[in-house]
Amino acid sequence: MAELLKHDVVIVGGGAAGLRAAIAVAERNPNLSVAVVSKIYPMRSHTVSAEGGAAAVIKANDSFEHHIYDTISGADWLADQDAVELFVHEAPKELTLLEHWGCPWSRDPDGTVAVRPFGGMKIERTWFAADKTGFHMLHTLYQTALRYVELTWYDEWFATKLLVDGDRCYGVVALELRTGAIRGITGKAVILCTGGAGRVFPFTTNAITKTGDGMALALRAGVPLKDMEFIQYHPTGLPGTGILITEAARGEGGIMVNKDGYRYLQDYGLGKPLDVNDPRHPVKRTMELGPRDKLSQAFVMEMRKGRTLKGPYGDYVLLDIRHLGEKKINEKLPFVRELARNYAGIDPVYEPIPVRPVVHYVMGGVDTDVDGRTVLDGLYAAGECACVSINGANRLGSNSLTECLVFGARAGHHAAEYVASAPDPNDSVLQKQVEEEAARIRKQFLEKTEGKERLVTVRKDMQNAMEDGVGIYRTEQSVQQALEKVLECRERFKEVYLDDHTVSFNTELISALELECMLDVALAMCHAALARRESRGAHQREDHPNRDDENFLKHSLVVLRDGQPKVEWKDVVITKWPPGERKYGADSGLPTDQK
Amino acid sequence: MRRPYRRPMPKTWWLKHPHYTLFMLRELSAVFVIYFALWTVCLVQRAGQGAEALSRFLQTMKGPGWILWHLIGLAFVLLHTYTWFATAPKVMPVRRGAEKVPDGVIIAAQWIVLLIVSVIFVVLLAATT
Amino acid sequence: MADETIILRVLRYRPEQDSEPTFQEYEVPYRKDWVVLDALNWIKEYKDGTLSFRWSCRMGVCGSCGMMVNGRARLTCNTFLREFYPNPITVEPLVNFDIERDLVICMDPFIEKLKRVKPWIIREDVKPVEDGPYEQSPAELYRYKQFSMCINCMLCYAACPVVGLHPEFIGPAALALGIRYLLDSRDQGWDERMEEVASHDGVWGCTFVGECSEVCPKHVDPAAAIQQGKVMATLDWFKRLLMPRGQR
Repeated sequence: MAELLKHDVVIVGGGAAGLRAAIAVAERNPNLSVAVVSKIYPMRSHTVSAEGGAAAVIKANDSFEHHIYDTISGADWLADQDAVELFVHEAPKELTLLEHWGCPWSRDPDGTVAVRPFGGMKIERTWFAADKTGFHMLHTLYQTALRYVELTWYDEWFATKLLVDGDRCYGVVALELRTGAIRGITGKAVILCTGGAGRVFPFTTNAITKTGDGMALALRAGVPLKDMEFIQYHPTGLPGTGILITEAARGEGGIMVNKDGYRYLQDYGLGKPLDVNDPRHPVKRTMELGPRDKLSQAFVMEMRKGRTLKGPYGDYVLLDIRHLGEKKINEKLPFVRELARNYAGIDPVYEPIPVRPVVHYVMGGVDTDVDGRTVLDGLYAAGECACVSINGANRLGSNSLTECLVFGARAGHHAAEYVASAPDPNDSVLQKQVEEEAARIRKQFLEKTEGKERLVTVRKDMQNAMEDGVGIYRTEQSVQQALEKVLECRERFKEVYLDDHTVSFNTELISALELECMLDVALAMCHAALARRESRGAHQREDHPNRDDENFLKHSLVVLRDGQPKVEWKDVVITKWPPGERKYGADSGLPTDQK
Repeated sequence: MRRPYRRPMPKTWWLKHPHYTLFMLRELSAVFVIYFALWTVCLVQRAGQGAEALSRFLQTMKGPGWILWHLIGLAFVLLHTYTWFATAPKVMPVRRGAEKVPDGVIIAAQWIVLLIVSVIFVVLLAATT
Repeated sequence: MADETIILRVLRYRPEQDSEPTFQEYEVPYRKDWVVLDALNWIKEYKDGTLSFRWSCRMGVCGSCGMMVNGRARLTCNTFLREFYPNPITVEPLVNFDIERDLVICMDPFIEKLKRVKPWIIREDVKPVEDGPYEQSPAELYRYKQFSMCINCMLCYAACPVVGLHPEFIGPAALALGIRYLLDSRDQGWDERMEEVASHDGVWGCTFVGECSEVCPKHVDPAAAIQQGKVMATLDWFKRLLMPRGQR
């Protein structure tokens, strides 16, 4: 058996959160050795697909109060307010750091950073780099990280298990794709930055890699997953592929219409539309700039009324940006134009874009505090795979990129301090775990001689069950059905037989390990969705249509007890902003003293 | 285990795509540019040797072989000019604020200048003979 | 319509069993809105799980899925089957790289080259973060913006014969990124970065075939970056000759 690959801090994931964490550790203590373990090359990470921008208060007309209130009300009061306050205060510093590292933020004529409005915002505060913000942030972070010699890059290594000795986490077991070697990569702290789990659903903006790996690893190690019932549907994905058309299209003034050309959002408590040529359009926190959950729910209602259009990939509505004109589209939304031309076959300068709601983001994740710490000492999480929680029941658009930076940095800083005092692990205990995990993978997949299931059929059945049962609107019955189907898929997974039994770059094996993670994540989502008998933000239970603060102003925690998932609860931190009604449209919902 | 495979680059790589072939022709065109420079030196040298030497030289050049050879040379030099001009907007992009002056404008401007210079040259030549 | 098919000829190389790459043919359903990547995924999911290739975002921005399609370097996520139908499509790994397995190439040389151009902001005086962002006018931004659009898909390396003939050549993408930082008004690392950019393996290795810009899916135009780099390197050389260090 090969020796352990020893470091001080092990970071799993090379997206925005992982790279920011890596830099944070290196900056805090250059004597530490940091492993960055990523199943794909870091610059391929899904951060790259984020388009619209990242929120932070920078302009004189904005205030921390506004950003906090927009975030908390957007979250339907399920966000922890201490975390949100801290997040909002640290956000400008983090985006400024990115600027210092070379991120090509779009600029105002005076040379300062430009901002644009996003849905659910009272004041425009989204920093952007045209409509490829995530791409520029990721490449800036990766290229900046390359200068740190403290970092050891484990590119294309897939982490399959957390190494735990006693009550502390000491690293991961990981599979090197190109050799097939399964090794222990150890450190006194592990930071999970593996991103979301959109691929649990059939129709998602997420890259193929977003399979909830970090969430599953934590869950299996006995760490709770928080608020997993909250799945954000982005209102504007391309039918068929699910490719994202950024909210910035609406931030710049795009409108949404149904099959009659009617701006249907006015029927769903999102205010009254202004003419697109009115200089006040688009009005913030109103109509197309309402929050994502409400817009996606409005689509379902329109569909039920028969007012959506029908296409080969299901119902859709239209996102119209023609009135912005070619020049502005090229300058502010070039990627939207490129994507619409390539994947919808239309040019948005001349035709409206067909769109429908699509799974985009998991509000829930590994339960952490504001330093990214989990209940397991030495285990941290940051970014989409974590739940601090600042996103509550519905994430505010453009908070996620900033979240990766703020909490990636905080987790990195805390981990750098923690490893100085944490006790050394017992290497032989870890070595044994590595061997057991390697044997499990060989036995379950590579050395298996028979099995009647094909990977793709199990995966598709799980995905369809989740869409049918745990979609935009749910009922106890629909979630129960999804749960039963997921349990059935978990049984069938044991019967999966791979075509590929070789070791070198066995991508089929990786797909199997990813599906195994997704089945765990799906299970957690179903249990949490069943337990929350109210409607809040992105969790709409038609059998419990109202918000119920008395019983459910709480975070759900799904945790494995004796191998069985159990739902427990944890209070939401409320400091200065008592739960109120979410108001969009003419009445912004801002308390009068904050208007 | 790992056993990366290195594919050899075929010697005929430049025939695989017209762009590569054109590139090789462009590289070849440099030879003709040098040739015409040397030819001009010869011409000047003959002129220095007197009218008779010059006349003999020009007479030789009127042979069909020479004319064909120089037509081929001219084609290569024109190719060279074309590719050289096409390079200019890439090497020296001209910006007005955030707006880039379109490549076509810069390329066209160079051809116009070349045309004007050529016309002046021909007019001067005609005037002196 | 549903039973129309198209043939994919895919280069296979499994290091554990093959001594050299060979082509394998697959018959795949033809759909007008399918890209080559969709066809490869259909093969992997339903016919032959042993076929290995990289992909991730499927929207042309992560840079994973570059391959040779009918001899041209393309992103398979935005190369549609309808461009070739009904003729067969040949899919190979990017040339000028070692094959790891099937359509997967070895990226190590590229990562090393990327590091060589120091693709990060170098400052002599670091502004405290509390003092806010640097100012950069839209005009200053546009000087380098185009060259910052590189997604590292490496199609340009496959298109560049110099990379094939002279493997030490830093290559189009990495050089364009080096020049992107040289052109950034916030950067002060001219001298140390120029050492790499203006080296024999740097811009002077380029013979300006120009094919890198032809295949670039993001219109980065690395050929332009490199030619500008040559001008910068030349001026830099003269300045060094005429002026003592640090006078620029």
